[in-house]
Amino acid sequence: MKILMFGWEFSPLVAGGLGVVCKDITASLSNAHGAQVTYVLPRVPHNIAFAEGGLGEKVSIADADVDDPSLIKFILESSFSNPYFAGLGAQSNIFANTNMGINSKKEIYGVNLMQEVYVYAEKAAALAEHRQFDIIHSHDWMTAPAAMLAKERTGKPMVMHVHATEVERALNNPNPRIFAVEQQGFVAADKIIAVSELTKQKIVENYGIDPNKIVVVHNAVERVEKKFGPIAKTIEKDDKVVLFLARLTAFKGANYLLSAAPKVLKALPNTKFLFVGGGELLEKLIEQSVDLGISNKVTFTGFLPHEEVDRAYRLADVFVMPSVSEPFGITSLEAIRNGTPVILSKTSGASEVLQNVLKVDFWDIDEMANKLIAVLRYGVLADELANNSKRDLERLTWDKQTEKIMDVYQQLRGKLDYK
Amino acid sequence: MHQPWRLTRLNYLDLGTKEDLFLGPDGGLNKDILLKVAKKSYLPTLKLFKKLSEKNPRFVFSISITGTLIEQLQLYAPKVIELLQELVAMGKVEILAETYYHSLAALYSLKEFGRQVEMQQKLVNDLFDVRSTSFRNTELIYNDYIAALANILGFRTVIAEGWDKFLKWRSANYVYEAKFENLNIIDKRTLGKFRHTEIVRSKLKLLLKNYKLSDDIAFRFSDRNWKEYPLTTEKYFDWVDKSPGEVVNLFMDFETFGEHQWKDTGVFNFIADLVTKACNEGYNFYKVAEAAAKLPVQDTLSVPELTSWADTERDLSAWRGNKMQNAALDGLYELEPKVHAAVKLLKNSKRIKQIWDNWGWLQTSDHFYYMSTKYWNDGDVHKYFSPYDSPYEAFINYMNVLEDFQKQLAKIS
Repeated sequence: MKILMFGWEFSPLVAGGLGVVCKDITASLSNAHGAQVTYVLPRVPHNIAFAEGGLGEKVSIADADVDDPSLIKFILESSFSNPYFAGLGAQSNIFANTNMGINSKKEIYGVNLMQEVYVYAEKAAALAEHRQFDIIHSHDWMTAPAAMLAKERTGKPMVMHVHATEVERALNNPNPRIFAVEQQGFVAADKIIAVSELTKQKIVENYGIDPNKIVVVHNAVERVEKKFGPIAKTIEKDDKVVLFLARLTAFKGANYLLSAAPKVLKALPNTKFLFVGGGELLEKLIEQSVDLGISNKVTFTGFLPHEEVDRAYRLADVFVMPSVSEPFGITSLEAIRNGTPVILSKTSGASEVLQNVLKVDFWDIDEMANKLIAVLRYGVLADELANNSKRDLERLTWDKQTEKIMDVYQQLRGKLDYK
Repeated sequence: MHQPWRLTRLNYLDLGTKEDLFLGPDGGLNKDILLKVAKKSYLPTLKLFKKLSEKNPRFVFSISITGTLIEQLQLYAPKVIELLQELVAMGKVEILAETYYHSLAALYSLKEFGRQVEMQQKLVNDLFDVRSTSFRNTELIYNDYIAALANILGFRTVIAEGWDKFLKWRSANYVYEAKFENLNIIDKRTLGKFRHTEIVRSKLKLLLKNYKLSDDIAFRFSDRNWKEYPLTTEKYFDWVDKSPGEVVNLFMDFETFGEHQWKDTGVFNFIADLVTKACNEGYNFYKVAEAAAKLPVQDTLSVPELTSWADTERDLSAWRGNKMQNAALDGLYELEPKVHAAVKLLKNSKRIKQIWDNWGWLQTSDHFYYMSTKYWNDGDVHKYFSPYDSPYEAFINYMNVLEDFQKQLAKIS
């Protein structure tokens, strides 16, 4: 089975969780199911090594920018923008830095994202025309135009993999242009893969797509045994640490956790709240912690690189994901992998596949506090959650999930044979 | 026959603000469940048994009933008690003794265990005008130690699960003599205060559940994947006849009839058929006490390790299998001296009753059962029957209620 995969990120070239997932999926398809994957990135800086983690020999990374040099018509400006700043924010950004020169390690998203998306579409489709493959598999909206164009030019079936919809990202105030691209993609796709039942529902309800067209394949997490040195605790020995790890953007619900914090602190004054992640709501959240009178118990670290993130998971006594609407939420799996008990929003994709976690309505501040207090006070509860949730992970492997993706491929390829 | 008083949903932030800690998670669950089970199981089954015993005079049976269920029946479905009273008066039913609160007190506090058995016996005496000579411990938890306890309390017969682990080559279909552990003098005296007979016999008879034939009805009856489905009386009698021994002990949850096995499975017809046929073909029905008295003792049987009738393991893992359960049980029984101290200081009799009630209701084994992660762990979620969404929620709520109770006690002292 030959797959032409379109993605905007690929670990270690990441801006959020998408890059890790794309890499894990690709590696698993290749290693466990023998699929041959050509993964087309918009731009591949020279100094990035993709070999880590055992992708398999059958994976090749194509650089839309250079693989067919004859087709390069533009030189893109080096600047930042983030497709995760949904809604009107997609037009603005906090790392605006045009003409930065060649510092391309972190410049995955240009300031005029929409323009880049269509440039990529042209290049990727051109690449497609000169390759042998069975299926086009594209991740999220940025690659949808590429997939649609490639499908038009080659006649191959198209699978659109939805890790998040604009509606979820923008909390029901979607950027109309992004929404339109998603809509077109959903209609053009032969099959849609959604990362949760929740996301599938959003697609059906908000984009008017037939549910039979959508297959749910939950995300998983790579099982990695990492060795860690002792953690330098700047936090006192008796302190309990509550961890939030996500972008500081509205749908991640950081403000709800912050609202619950004073109630927890009243019962357990030695609790510290750790917010890891950067985002446009940083200032507002800092203000909120001051208003609540708990700013000395709350720490905002900003964006942390991956190694530091693992330390944060291990330092924490509990990990909270209070998202308003989380398509999946891989961070919860990462927390479990690091032996930390988890409290999850009920409106998250991960809560569909995790049993040994505490679940809560994101808006139910009192119940969130109730559960936090219980996990922090009762070691036996934390132990049982931490140990048993690891079993949930055992059931949720990438190889099992990519098998479902292979099924989708088989179905679509089978249809072609009958033409 | 048993129902627990399920806990009110108590958020830690609301500790000390709730009047009643035993309303069930949504404030009315206890009543709702009781009415449902009475309608589907208690009433139709007792009516059926009454009819059967009128038509077949040889049909008799035994039941064990908890104080917590009787309390709920008196409040919400008194007709069930009336039916039972009729059946007892007719001489058709033997009532067994058990702990009033369906608790694990035997394993934690002899004083409490004795108190609860005495309470249940007093209630049974008040309502049915009888005293039990047969005893069963909560969920048939049994071993030589439990046998000793039953003996001190003056009972003549005790029942247990006929589990192969201790039976080995023997059959459950005989009357045995229980081996009892030697209790120390202090324990004997502590427990001895709660018995009603002057005579403590030197022998205690033991009847063992035939788990295959019991569970065929209780669990497998409506299972279409069971290779013996559907179960007919012909088949069943064939198995009974082929079993060696003197007696077949069918012990099961009363709710088997109508609740675990719904009416439309045909379970009522089956049992009616079975009883009628048995009587017609010369089989004898025995109450527990009768079987113990009339049948010869086969052997003395020692059961060193605690067994129960629960799950495939037949051990105590359903209630004490994980850390949460043990922490909760330990925390609970640590409060015993504080309870006794507190009631001594109180003058208001209503409040005293409330404290005793709460103390007892907190001990019902169901609360700990809800915290079990045995099946939950492996993704077997459909086996989780509980008013809570998960064993963790069960634990959190129990500990909140326990802490509320503990704070109440502290305030009194």
